[in-house]
Amino acid sequence: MDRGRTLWVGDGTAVAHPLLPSLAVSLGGRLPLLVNAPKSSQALGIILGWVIVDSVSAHVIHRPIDSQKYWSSFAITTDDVEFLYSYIIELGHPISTDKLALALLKHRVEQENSKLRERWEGCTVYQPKAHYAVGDRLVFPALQFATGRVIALRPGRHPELGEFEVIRVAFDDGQQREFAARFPHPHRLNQMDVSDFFSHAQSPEALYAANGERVRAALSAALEQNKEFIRIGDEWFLRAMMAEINIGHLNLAEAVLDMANGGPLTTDVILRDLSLPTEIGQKVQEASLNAALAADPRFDEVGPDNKPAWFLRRLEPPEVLTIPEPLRAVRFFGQADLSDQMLALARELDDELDFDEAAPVEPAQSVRVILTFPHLRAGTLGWSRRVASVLPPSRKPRIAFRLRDPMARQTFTAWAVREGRYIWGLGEWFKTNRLAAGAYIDLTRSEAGDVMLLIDYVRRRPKREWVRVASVRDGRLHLETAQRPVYCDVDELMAVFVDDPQAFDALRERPRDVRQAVREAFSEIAKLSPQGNVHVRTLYAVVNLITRCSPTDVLAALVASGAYVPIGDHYWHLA
Amino acid sequence: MKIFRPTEDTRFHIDYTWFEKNGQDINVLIQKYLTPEQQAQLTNSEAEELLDSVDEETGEVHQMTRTMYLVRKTYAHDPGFINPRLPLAELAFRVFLVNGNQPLTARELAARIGRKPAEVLAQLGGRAVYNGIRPILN
Repeated sequence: MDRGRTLWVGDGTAVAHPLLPSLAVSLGGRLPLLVNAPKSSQALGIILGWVIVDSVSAHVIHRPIDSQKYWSSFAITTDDVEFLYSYIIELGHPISTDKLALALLKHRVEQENSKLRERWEGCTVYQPKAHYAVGDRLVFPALQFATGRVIALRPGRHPELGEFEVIRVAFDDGQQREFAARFPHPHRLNQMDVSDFFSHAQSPEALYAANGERVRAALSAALEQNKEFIRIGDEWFLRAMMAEINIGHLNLAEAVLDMANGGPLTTDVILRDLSLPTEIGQKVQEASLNAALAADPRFDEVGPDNKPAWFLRRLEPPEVLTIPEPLRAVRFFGQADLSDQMLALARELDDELDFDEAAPVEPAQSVRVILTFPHLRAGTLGWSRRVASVLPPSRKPRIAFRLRDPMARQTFTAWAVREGRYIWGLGEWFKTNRLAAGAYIDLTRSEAGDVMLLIDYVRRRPKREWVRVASVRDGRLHLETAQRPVYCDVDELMAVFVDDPQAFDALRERPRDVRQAVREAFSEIAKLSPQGNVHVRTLYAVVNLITRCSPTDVLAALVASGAYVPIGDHYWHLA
Repeated sequence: MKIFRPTEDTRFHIDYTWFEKNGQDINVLIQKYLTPEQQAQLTNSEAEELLDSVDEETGEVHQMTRTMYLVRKTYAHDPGFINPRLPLAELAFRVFLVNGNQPLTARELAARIGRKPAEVLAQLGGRAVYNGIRPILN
């Protein structure tokens, strides 16, 4: 007699199988003897007034691919590489890491399915209601799909179950166990759709959603080391399938870019003049040219991540290769405790110097930023969190893209430069529109052709107004209130008009730390109001006339100094 | 030799082989739970007649004696059978009789009989074996 594994039917008590714990329901002797218990439950409970056993019954195929261990030790095998090789050959064009990783997962899932199908070949799925003969091979879904052969039959005996059969099964592992057959009563296995086993498995897409990062990393690492594969941007291709690009083609590409003032030109545009054999597919041509251009130091890949574009390195503006002088920042060294309000203000000011690479950027359709003097002087905008939300994510050192001023119907090239986090190429636009430091700039995503962003400012009828004007007197910063024509809406607290920006170049070159810059700026701002109050936004804007530094550094210097006291609403006063 | 020390999470059950090894017959032991009428109806041969039961989850067939079947049928829904005033070991034996000898941890058993797990463990986890109730080693 087996102990502890049986559901004793007919007498009202439920028992779990220790290997496949179940939830069984106790019923009265005159009621149906077996019921379908809920499939999963950790409940200990009382149902119909009697004891229900614990735990979960998971009658699913126990696939390695569903286990934690499988993913923690995930690695690319030789078989995987062979598959990927064949897959790309069949595809005929380069494929992104994401898509390749998903294809690999689909392959792995199919492999497991094949193994299971192979294992069950010639087997009948066991169901208690069915009739079996000696010699039949059975697979048992409720026993982790163990397989065995029927070796004997006998009549079943139970006063309340009527006629049924008992089959003795010899399992492949040598065990012999008995099972009900021709069992007419309700039983969960009798209701099972035996053609639906695979539906229990997670889809490759679901597996990819959960483990994609790990697969991509393993895939990239493995293919990087395999000479048969070539990485082109974020795509993979086979070296053997690449079209031949010779030095003549590359010289021609250089000439094409030269004619376009260095670029940027997308690969397909350059290809038009290269006359590669037409029997080679367009995508293969592009991949081959991309690989050849990437290997030639004359060319720089400056397109967004999803679309390579090329620029002649020798024609790249120096401002995108080295950080423009007005943007070279000084950091505050020292200790200062910034309050939550101060940190919130720093976030609101959204300076690229305070950009946290680790924090994810939420995409946005449109943003408004405030132009500060260093950027006005350098012809740039900060690639701050707000600006990043309208730009496509990129891991490249620099990307060139088209900006359009829809009001002026003017399109021009700008560069997003990772080192220093700035967008360069706006100097002429600033000058044309006579923008002042403190002006609001609107950036909007564009879906139109090659234009990535729309740029605009808040226009207004030109009018002379009393504004904060900065100048250099006796080699020192000087602020005053004076009348100047204003052509755009500005942030009142941050607007600073400068008549002679060049004069500030020399002032900025003088070595000065953040504390000193704050001291110089504070005293100048304070004298403009009768109370001598200074708002942090104004201080940040004015400090940046003479020293490029972030809002948090300005606040830290302010707090650490001890010479100033906060009087509320981000206003400070001399102590 | 490994020393096995049961914990509150160790599962217990009635080890039927214990009766054979100790020259006892569980069917005789549990007949006392039957009513005089039921006892009178059961002949000796019927008492040990094996019946088949079918596992609800797996369809596997296990066998039990008619005596066991009658005990379970009679008391499965009788809360008075698990009377908290009874000695702990007797209570545990009754729990296993009516639940089909489904293994239970000391903690689970304690919850069903209204005792503390440590108490259950002290009684059932020691060297003395009461009516075959033993820990499951694996």
